[in-house]
Amino acid sequence: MVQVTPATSDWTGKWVACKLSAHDSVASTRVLSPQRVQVERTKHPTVVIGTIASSPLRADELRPLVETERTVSFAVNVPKEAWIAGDALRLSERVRVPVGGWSDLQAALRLADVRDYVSSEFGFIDRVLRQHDTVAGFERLDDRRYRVSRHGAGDVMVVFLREYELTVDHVRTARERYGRFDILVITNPSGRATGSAEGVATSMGGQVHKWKSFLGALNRP
Amino acid sequence: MTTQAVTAILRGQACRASRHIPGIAWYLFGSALVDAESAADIDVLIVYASEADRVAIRQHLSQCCLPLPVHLILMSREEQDELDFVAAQGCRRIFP
Repeated sequence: MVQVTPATSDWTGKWVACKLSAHDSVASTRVLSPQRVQVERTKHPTVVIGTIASSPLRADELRPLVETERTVSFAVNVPKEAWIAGDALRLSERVRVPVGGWSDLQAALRLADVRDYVSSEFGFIDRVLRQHDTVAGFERLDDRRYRVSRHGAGDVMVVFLREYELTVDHVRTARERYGRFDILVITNPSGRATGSAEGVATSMGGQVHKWKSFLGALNRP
Repeated sequence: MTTQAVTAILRGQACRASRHIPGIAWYLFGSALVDAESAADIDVLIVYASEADRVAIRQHLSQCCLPLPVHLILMSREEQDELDFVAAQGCRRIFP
């Protein structure tokens, strides 16, 4: 796992407060503690944001922010490369404190209640899977890994990546993070895979798809 | 943190990495090139020669601490040639 940020998260509150001061729906910010920022908003109620820098982010690391600190309404995991393990996602759902990256926080702050936030990317994935005739059900196992059950065919493990240029490193990193997968979907509409990345995915027994070809692949055994 | 300061930090890290992994090139691209202070993250491209280099870079980065929200892309030379990413994204070489 790549760690390109400090092991401690103590710097994140100050960093988030500083960055949010330029946000169009933010009137002011106040650092309450190294990992808690109070955000006064221009049109909506004031909220407290929990901040962390961890990859992977697991429930044990998230718990102190969202359970001990009852005032926190959203938890932001700052490193862009970070990923969120399934147990952290389930904790987030249980306590109704959304967890996401920097872009998720920016979108959530435009909502009256930041606890209502659902990522547009994953809202879209869930909607597409629900509407697919072959899909009998699905489960989000980690932030980007799903198990998809199909009528008349076996389950498939699917990893969704939003890369613009999908490289060998992305494919190998996905494998290290999520284990074996059958299908890797590039969710970025402008995204593409390098020839080498497709070759590596094939060597792992997986396939790389964009949305349209993924929907067709679900119909095949 | 200014773009100049960010570049200095990354160059120092690249210099340390190069002692163990010679022949890799580091680039800065995206909004941090213009204004690192207002950029949401710092886009960094590392171009490597072999799979062994890729593994070594990941290993090196797993042991270092950068006080920056880095978004890292690792690309083999072959992939860089295929995509011409450096030119297309206006990447600025920061090391060597």
